[in-house]
Amino acid sequence: MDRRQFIASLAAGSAMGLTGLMPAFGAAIVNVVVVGGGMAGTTAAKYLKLWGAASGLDVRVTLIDANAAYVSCILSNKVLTGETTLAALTYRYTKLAGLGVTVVQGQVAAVDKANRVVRLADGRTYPYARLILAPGIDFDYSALTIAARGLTADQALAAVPHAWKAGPQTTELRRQLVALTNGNRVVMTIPAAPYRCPPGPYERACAIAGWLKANRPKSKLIVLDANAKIIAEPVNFGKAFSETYRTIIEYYPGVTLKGVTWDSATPKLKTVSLLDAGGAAVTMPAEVVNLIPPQKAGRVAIDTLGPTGLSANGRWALVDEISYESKVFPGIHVIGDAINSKQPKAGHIGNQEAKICADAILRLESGRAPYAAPVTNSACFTPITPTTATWLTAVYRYQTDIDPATGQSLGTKSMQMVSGNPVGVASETPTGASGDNADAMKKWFASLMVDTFG
Amino acid sequence: MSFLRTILAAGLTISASAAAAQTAGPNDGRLLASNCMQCHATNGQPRPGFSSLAGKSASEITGEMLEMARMTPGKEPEKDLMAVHARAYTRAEIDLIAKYLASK
Repeated sequence: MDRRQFIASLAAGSAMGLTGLMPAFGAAIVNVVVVGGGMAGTTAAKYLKLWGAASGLDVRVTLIDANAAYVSCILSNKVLTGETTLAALTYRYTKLAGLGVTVVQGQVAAVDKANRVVRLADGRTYPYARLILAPGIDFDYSALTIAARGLTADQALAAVPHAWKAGPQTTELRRQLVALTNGNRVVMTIPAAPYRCPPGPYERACAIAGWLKANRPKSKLIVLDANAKIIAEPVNFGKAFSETYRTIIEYYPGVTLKGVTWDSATPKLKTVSLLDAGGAAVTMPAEVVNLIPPQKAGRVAIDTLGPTGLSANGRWALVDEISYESKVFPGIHVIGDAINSKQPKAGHIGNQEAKICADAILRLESGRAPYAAPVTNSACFTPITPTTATWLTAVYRYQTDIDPATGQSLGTKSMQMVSGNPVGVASETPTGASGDNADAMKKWFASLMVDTFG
Repeated sequence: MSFLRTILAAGLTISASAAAAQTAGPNDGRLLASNCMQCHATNGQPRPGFSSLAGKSASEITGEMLEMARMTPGKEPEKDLMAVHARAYTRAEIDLIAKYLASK
């Protein structure tokens, strides 16, 4: 340590001392860079500082995100219905900075794995001992034809919004819904699993159907699901589709979406092309298309780990869930929606993956093994109507992978569901959609965001 | 725990439970209890709608977890959210969680 570093560490120490997080004098410095300030990345940064203070290490954490603030996907379906706003769902990194995390706004250009340095598009560089990638998801339109006469490819994509990252696309889908004439048709498409938030598309369907029922009651919502059936909360959503929204929702499982075409001069005359469950080619007209495309890990994970560090289909990061370290690249951890996992891709469980990753890094950097049998939990409340909600929950444990065909151990371990009725099926609320659950949903969300950003 | 009892425990409990009980380190309870924090706040302090976990004794917390997890033969098991969670932990893990929370 030279004189300048010594003075800098004194300054850092006195600032951190105010919050009781001053590392031991002379403690080994561990630089951790976290890329992605969503639910998982933010939690990792926070808990590395909280738990790092008592670890005997001088843990220095830098959080890098392209945006100055995070907009919650959770509850953003209520922006579509006008019940809340994006501003009300926006979270800043102020508390994180108060814990001593260096928060950087910038676009990652590349990760130099050999030299362990993250380089930003503007040239800034951040060396790391451990890198945590929490880039969330990206969208894959490669199998779809989205084309409009008179529009560029990007303009055409923006005109059939996914609204699957809360932000401008959420605002655009809301605008298109409000512009509907009573009797117009809305098509929404659900990609094959895995995708971000298993119950999310079905919740989306309920949100749109609820708004149509109240405001455009002659309109229909046609739900085209690439999956063979409702994959989350089948009882609660099945009831919502067949009873609560019987006059609005038409649900088609097993659909292969092919594309959407139209002329920019007549944007409300879109044609959706698909193969039905029997494989027959079908076209259907729609005034609004909410196209939720197939998904893959966020760009930074694909660029940094591909192709050897990704699943065979090139979409998700291969990690050992005991620590979330890449199975291929030492020192690089991946958490949240970007990983290849049996755990759902969702904010609540991403928060827990982050804590396990943070704890494992502190143990590894102290020369110890990660905790042998980590447990995570997933819980999610889903609005069914403006005044009711349901919930879904599951618990996962790191345990031996079993070949389902032979019942024999595969010699590897991963996070597997250990809860449910029966075990292995995520539990949904037995009381159905209720006002009590809607009340609990608000409290759950508030607490989750405090544990993540507060 | 004697060597013999360790062997017996390893043989009689499922592997995860044995791992938790035998290798319990100083932060194992903290890590397991962090599953509570999404709802019960980062340090188990009271949150609107969620009971405070801080300020309770380990035996109180263990007792509540076991009560929520209880399965009575011939009766439909409780299906509320915390019952599903409580049943997913081994007794050794519940004890680690309770001990950590009681220290907060």
